[in-house]
Amino acid sequence: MKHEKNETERTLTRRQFIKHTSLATIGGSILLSSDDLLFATAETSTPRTETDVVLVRNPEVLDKRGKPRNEIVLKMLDAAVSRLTGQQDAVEGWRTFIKPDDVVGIKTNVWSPIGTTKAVEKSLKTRVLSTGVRDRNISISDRNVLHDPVFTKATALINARPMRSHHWSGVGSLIKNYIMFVPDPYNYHEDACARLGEIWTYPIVKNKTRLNVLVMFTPQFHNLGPHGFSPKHVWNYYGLLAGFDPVAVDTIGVKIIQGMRNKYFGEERPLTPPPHHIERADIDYHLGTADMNRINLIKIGFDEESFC
Amino acid sequence: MSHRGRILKLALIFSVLLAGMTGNLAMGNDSTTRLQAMIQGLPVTIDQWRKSPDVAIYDGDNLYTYINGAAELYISYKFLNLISLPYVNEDDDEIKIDIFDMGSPQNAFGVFSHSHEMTDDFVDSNIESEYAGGLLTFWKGRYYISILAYPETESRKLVVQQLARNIAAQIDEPSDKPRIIERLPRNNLQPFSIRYFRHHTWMNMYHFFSTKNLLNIDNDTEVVMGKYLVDAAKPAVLIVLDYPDEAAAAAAHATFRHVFMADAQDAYTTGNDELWTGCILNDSLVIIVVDAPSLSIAQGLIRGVE
Repeated sequence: MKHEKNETERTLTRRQFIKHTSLATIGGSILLSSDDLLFATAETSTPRTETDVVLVRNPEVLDKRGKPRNEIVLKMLDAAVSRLTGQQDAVEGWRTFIKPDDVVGIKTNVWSPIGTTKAVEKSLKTRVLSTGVRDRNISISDRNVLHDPVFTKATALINARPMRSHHWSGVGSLIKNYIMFVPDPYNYHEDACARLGEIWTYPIVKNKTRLNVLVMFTPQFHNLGPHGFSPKHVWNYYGLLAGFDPVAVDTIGVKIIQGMRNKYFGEERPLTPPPHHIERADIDYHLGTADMNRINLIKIGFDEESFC
Repeated sequence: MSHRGRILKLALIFSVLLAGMTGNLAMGNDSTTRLQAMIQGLPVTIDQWRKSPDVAIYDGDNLYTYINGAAELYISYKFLNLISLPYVNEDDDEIKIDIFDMGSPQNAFGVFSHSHEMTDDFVDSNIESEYAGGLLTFWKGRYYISILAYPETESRKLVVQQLARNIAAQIDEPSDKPRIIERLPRNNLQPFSIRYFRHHTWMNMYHFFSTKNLLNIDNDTEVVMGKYLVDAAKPAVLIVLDYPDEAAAAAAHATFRHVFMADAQDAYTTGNDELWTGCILNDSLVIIVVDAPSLSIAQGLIRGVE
């Protein structure tokens, strides 16, 4: 059967798969001995590439009530930034992309059932502060970014949100997280939000994003009900994805969500609608790569059922 | 919330308060009056939960102010109005009630079936519902109802059940499913796999075709699909599209054959994945099968519709 071109259906090459699996296995065995050891010895010698995506997982990140632990979140974030920047010291890593005179907006996501979480927001702010940025030049916001004085004069943005399945865009993604930078978000809903990448070309955000963090502590893989929140379809993944390329990070996130859907439903169950706004962000707006063959996935830590 | 949304919300709160002083709202014929009456019919308190005066009503123009990003699903099923109401306790926890007037039982069934995996008798044995983890969804008559009580506890679950039964008791109209679903053969049909819609986006639910509306599906076109597990690990998908006239069906049939079966000599073809695709035109119906493990199974499924 001939299908219309669907460039989202890409897979890891066998070589990449073996490479990733090996890295993950090493990380997993280190994690068993000590978190500190793991984070101290995370590979940092490999040169940084724009398509590196780091997945850090740690089952200890959630407490008994399912809330993220601040200290573990910070360690996970540090491990990711160290690996992404090639700097042993995470703060030094942050200093490679945030300068003391930057005005930094941390774009979060406040969707109440599964938010970015205070722990992630706090960790990001802690590390931005540690680069020398003044407190008054840092703001954390979601729906008020157009009216927040820090965001309106921001020189740098940190983009952080959870990934979840979504009724109309396929998934809530890093690309989608910038929809609050336009006054008319409803005008970007056509064709399953295919045009979301365009927002990233607007002056208020263009070329300002320094880091993308996709929170995968408790992702949601299927939607029910008007609020899009279905407790039955949320699972503990204990992960953080980070990278400089938002499209690449989103692409890995989608792979994880899709993997859980397939496992849960016992068959291939495509996200509906397909999250093609991520692919469009690559092809139409050149914001990064959605090509799995060009994404360098680095896995650190726990690796059971990673789906990537 | 937009200025218009705030005005609507304030107006509704005022009308509900007024109704509380003067007695029940008179049952009217319009959608919003019926929804208000249903809310009015709910108990003021239930266990430790108290009905909040913070009632809001939405239509297609402002639904995004309440469920931004999710509104399009309900708009695609032509909903008329939504009324939302929380019950709150002393800790400011909420149980959220949302009642959608979908305009017809067919659309209410459609939006319920859109993503459900099973049905239970949580509300009543003759009501299709799905309860899990603190979220209840069900449909009755023209209404699609969601009640969310999260985190789930046993006591909250019972409150959800009582509220749902109260709402259901206020709906008298029959829950007629779309007649087109009777076209789907029952043999080997996977339970709860039926999907019914009138919007092209949902064509991709079981099999990716296109992000474009190639088959020209609009509000005048009814579509039903189901999955069939026959001698294979992967289910075949059977889709029936009922167009308003034969010409529209013929155009969609020709497009499908051209785009997805360009190499086919007749109504069936197989691809590199060795799965079979078929497409038949039958008056105003276009009948499609994809992912069938053999030609005979593809033919059998389509014959089951004809």
